[in-house]
Amino acid sequence: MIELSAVTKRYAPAEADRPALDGIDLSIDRGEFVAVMGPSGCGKTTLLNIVGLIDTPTTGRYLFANQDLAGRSENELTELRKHNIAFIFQAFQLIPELSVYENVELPLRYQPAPRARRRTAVREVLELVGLDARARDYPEALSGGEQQRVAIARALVNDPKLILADEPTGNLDQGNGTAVLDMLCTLNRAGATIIVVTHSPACAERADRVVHLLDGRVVGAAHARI
Amino acid sequence: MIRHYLTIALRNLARSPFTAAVNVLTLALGLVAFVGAYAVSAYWGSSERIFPNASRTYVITASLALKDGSIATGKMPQTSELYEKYLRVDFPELETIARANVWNRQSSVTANGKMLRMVGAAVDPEFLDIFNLPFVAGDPRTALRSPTGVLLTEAAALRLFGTTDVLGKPVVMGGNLIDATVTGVIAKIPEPSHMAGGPSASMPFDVMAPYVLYDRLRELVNRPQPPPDAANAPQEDDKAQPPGAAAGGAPPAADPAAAPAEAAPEQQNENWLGGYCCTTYVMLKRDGALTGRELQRRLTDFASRRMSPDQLAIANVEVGAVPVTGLLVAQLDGQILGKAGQYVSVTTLLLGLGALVLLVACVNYANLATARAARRAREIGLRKVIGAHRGQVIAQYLLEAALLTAAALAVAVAVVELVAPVVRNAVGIDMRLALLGSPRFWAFIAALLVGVTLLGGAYPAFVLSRVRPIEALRIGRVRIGPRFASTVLVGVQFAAASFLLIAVLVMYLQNARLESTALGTTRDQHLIVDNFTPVTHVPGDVLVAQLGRLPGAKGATAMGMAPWSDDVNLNLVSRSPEAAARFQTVFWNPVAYDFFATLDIPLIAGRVFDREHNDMRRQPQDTPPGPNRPPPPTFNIVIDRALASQLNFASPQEAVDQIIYVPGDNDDPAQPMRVIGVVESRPLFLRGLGATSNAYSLEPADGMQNFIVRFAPADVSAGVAAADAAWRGFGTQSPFTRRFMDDVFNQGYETFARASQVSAGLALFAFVISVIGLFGMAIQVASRRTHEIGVRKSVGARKRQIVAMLITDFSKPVVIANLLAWPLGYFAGRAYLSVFIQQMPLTPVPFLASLTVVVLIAWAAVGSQALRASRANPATVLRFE
Repeated sequence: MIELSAVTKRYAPAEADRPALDGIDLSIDRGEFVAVMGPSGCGKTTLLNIVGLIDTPTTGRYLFANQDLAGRSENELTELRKHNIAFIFQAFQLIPELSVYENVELPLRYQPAPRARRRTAVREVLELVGLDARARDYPEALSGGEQQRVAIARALVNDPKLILADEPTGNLDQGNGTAVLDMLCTLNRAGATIIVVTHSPACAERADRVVHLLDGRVVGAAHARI
Repeated sequence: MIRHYLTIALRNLARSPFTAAVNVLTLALGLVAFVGAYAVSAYWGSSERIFPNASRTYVITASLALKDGSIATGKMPQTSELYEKYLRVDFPELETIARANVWNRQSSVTANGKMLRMVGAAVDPEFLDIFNLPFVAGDPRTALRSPTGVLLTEAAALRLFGTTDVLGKPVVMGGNLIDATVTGVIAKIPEPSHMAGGPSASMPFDVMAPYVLYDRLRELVNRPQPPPDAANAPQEDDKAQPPGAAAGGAPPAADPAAAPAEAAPEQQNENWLGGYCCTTYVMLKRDGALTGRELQRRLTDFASRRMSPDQLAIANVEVGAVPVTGLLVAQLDGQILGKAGQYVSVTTLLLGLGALVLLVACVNYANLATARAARRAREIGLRKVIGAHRGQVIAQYLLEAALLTAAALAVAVAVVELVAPVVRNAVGIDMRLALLGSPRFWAFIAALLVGVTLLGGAYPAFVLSRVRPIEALRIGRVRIGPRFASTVLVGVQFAAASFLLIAVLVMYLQNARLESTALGTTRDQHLIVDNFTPVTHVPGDVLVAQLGRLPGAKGATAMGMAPWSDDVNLNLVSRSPEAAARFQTVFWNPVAYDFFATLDIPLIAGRVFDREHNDMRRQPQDTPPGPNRPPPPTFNIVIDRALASQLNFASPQEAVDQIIYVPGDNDDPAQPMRVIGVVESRPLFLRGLGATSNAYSLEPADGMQNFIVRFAPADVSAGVAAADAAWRGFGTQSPFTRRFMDDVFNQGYETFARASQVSAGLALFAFVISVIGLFGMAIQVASRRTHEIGVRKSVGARKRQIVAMLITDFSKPVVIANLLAWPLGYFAGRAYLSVFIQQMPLTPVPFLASLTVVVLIAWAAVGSQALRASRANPATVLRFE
């Protein structure tokens, strides 16, 4: 599903000798649960952004679902992203002016999906994350764990093929963190490909494979769940 | 999706009500300026709407320019009577042609033994075919076909007869000269119309007579006391006369307006340079065989094809036509803009100034919205991550801008509606005519909504749509647009506001100068008594003597044209009798004895007219033109300091006893005149078609119409009562008609005072908006530089130094913007000054004053923010950062 070949990312010419990503070769199959680990500044989030099509490599080749993304316009990448990819962020990234229901509904509005389908889909995912009773509430009224569950619901509502999670448990206590990981595993079992950037060994333990990054390079990969 | 965008927009506004209110308020200020300007322009644009033929009716214009540059009248909607005659020859495809002439605003009309002064207008009978006047009695088809039939307005009928049921009743025109009959009564003509009573109306009337009656009236008026020359002729025909039309010196070609039409001179002697007495209307046929554009094209050389070689050698006359619906605006252009009115209209200028203020408001909105958008970068980043295209982000923010614009528009329309009655009472302009009831208004509002949304919202929407989601999500708040953008936007606002401020300062300084110099240094009051001897039978010299003997009178005199009225008499003078010599255009003022003492105009060299010398102008012998014609006798004149300088005399003293000339015409030799004295320059008229100086000739008081008596302030009431009694003592039927000179001045000056008040209001709007913009930028910049300020303080900077640094930084764009506005302000100032005869020198004062004001305002706006930023505790700031 994802194939990166010799991918390099430099943010500024001054970084020529120290790119954020330095010749990454990585393949991820459909339905895999991959954890990306490494120290701060090693390029984990950059890798996630490139995989999620919100950033582009400086050099190298990226095949997404067997499509070469070289030279694609911003709009083409947006189209690919909105139909295939969902994000879950450490800081939840909910829009405070929108209710829980509206936050979850947002990706469907950009599809665009008819209202009836939106309503059904949103209710289903809110039930799935156990927040159907809080649909009218605004994010500021929710706890951190609830906010992250809203973010997960938003990621699921579109039925994406790939879910990218950047430190999804980073801002949560242990109980909420475990609940979020449980949800991700459930999604993975349902067929979604999941890539999680994490510092948490507990999270990595749930993954099929752990990719270790150091100074922008893949330094090791291990199958965590054999 | 639009509903979603609306929901988001409304919630955002609700979360920041103060910011939303500031945005709406500033946009509303700009919109009030523009919607108000539109409403006023639309009001003028809707003139003559009650006349069904207005759309195919045109008014012939003439533009006279002397080749030496001394006179350029601009496009005047007036012509001589020659035009009508030749239009019939050149344009047989016209449906009809008609002349109209307001012959006297103080015309005497007698009925029931009561004589009243009324505005008298003469028209060709075809006038009623063009304009279906609102008759309340009489038959429009025949009302002016009778040579003695006249129309009265309802108001005039009430004044004369105490009733409007006056059809068939007798009136006497010209006081007691011609018996006439009322053949129609006209209801009040609704504004806006050039025939209604507004200040810019060129054809108001109380009584309307056929042209043939007017011709007879002129004949009768001229017969008993044939004027020695054209200088004294126009009293019953009180139009401004360019040189050659009415002359105080050697008479140029004959003025056809002063003679019956059937006695028009041969073509080679026709005067195409003067006699601008009439409005000439032409009506196109409905079949469209001749269009307005074609008419205008064919008219261009209408006059020049008929001008004599002598006339062509000295002047260009360009003829044109304006739709009658634009006549009111054309009049205003002439009044307010003078020569500049050729290139730009008052309505265009007003809309332009309104648009400038609106632009300032839009730029302000763009700036504040961009600054605020930076806080919403995370939301944009997230939307883009989950699939929003750039176009969708742009649409969302444009919709938000549209919502604010709609709110601001509602506020603006409400404000304009509220002030409309005040404006109508103050200046007679009904802005409501163009507002809610008109379908065009809603189209205008829709266009404005789209335009302002794009102008104010496009930039923030565009830069927001370019936000990179990675940065937005990582740090939450990113720089939106280039670093210098907000500075440039604030600079644009202040440049516009500075330009308006400079223009306003120039206008106020010029107006103040005009006020201070116009009426002299004396606080004495000058009463002007109107007396036209052929009608009143009150001899002018007797009247002057009587006025001079009134209790409290400090002097009495007479003058051909009333000071500060719109009636001016121009002439050309030169130091050489040669036809090719360089001539100077001057105001030619026939005056009686004691004029300078009465008007408090100081003598600076030589002497003024007195009874010991033979100063009275001698008239040339009435001999036929030709080479044997004797040279005209030299007569004495007094000139002012400005004319002495324009004629290149080294000093006023040097001009004394010198001979100067009025140019000859055809076979007439130049008229020599001896300068007996030079007086201080004192403006007596507001506008002068290029003339800026005065020459005075002594004429018999009997031929004049304006008698001036000077009273000390304490003696005015008693003096006026005594004058009234003296007038009654003459036993004339004619009513005592008098005005104070400063009232006449204020009447003419009012237009300029209003123009500067409007400009000042617009400048104030622009400043309020700009200051809010600067304040917004100060908050934004101070917050952005918190870290820098913390570091500076940690390394030893004092609070005072931080404040100075911030204020200096904020002042830079304001100062640069002000300096950039100087050239535009200079040109606008020059254009305004060019309207006036007495122009103030355009010194650096208004420019430096605007700079000072702008800088002080900027400091006041940013000072509090700078002080607040300077108080930041470095430990807290740096720890937080």
